[in-house]
Amino acid sequence: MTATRTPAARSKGATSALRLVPLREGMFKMPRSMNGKPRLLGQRCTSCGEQFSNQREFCANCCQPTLENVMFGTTGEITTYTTVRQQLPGALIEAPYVIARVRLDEGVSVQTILSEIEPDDVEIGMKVVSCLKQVTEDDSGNAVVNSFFKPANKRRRARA
Amino acid sequence: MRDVVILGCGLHRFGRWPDKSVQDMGREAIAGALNDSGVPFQDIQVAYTGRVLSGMGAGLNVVNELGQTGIPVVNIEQACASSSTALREARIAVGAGVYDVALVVGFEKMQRGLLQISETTSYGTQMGFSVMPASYALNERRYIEDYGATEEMFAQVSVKAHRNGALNPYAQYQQEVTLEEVMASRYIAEPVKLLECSPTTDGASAVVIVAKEVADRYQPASRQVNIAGWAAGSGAYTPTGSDAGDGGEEGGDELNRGALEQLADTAYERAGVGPEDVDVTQVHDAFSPGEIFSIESLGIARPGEGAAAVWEGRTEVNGDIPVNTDGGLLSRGHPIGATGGAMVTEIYRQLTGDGGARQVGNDPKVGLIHNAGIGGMNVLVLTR
Ligand SMILES: [Zn+2]
Repeated sequence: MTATRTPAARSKGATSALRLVPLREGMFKMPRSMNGKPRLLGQRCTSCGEQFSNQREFCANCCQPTLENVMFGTTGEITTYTTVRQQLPGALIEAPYVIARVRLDEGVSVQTILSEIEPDDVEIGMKVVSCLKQVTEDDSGNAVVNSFFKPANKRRRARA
Repeated sequence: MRDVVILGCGLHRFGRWPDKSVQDMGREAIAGALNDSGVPFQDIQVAYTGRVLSGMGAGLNVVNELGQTGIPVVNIEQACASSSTALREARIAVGAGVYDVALVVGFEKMQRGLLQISETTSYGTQMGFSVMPASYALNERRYIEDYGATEEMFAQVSVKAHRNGALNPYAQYQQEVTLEEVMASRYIAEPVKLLECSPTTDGASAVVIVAKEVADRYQPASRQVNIAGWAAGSGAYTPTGSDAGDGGEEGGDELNRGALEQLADTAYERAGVGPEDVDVTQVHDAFSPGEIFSIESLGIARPGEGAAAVWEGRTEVNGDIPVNTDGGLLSRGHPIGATGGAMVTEIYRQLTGDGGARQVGNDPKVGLIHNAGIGGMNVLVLTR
């Protein structure tokens, strides 16, 4: 496999030096290509069993420093959502966009932005899968990416 | 702990006051509270000030407007719950016997537009999560799904709020709105619409509290309102799968309903009353879903019935559970540091029969207050 064949480079039609850079380190395992599914990184407390979608030193539930890193799967279900129609100053995401609360199959809830779906087609209970999206570009021209979620099943649009 | 009573309150009208400083507004509110209570400034032994956006030590600058007596001035920042926290701290200090007479002040000057709740370089801002109504919208959507409520029921909160605000000379918006106008206003975060969002506001509030044993020096018993119950908290972590939440909700979520239920229980128990005894209520309607969620958590409406209670008019001034008789955050306005004091002021007015055109009937004796902010909430039970 040559460097020029990485999807990031292909999609941007750029040189082989370009890389995928996470918006924040430590939030998900970077897939090998833009088309891969990011796996969210979290923690599990070995004392009480509670799982977290973020990184801490002490367990928020039982207060013990007994958290181990875990990697969650890529699928979950929408428990609620909202379409944001007012642009937030400083946001890299342009309104309108859909914020969803997704319960991962492991039981942990995460807040995410939905991709590849029209706001009016979103429903509570919809199965979703993680995906990678570019949110901006760094000074070297690398794609700065983050994990989003999109519908797990291709659905035919109800409207013509 | 000793009994502690409120003897008087004062407000600077909420609104947009570009030409006034927080000192100007605070001075007017404090002078109003001193006049209302009959307590001279020289008798004030300590001041607790709630404020968020003003600079370092702003509380002293405001309190010193009334004279430089050298008392301790405590600056409290607890986001939108700052001045209810100030009142609680003052009540505890007076109750403990450290002071007999205390002043509680809240003030704020805010910028127009969406309240910026995190740094522009933060993850929440970059990803567009930190839009203030988003958490209310997520919870409203889920509520509609779970209980078969409608967007109109939530919009009705704002209609009712503005009807009350129109009767309140201290309110930012003294104009009624129709259900059609609320429903037609643009979405900010669906299903929350522009006319369901509290505005940014300038304003000030002040409350004078004293130990019950010295209260008769200043006012007859009919003008003394007990701070009978109080509870504060920041919301314990709700484990995944628990009834209280979805799991994964960390930090001071101001919509932490399980935490509010516990605080309400504590406040009722301290006051020796229950939700069925409450005659008039103030809740934190920063966005219209706030009223519906809060009245359920406070136990004055049953779970899942809050939206219907609003829709059926039960929370109107003449309803059986009147809520936000002064217009609430939606219509009275929400100068974050001053809001808790305005809530206390309205309950004091109602319990002393000074509610004017928005006075609730049946000689109210028990008032309830819920003031929430990022980082903590307060529940207060006031009785006469
Ligand atoms: Zn634990």
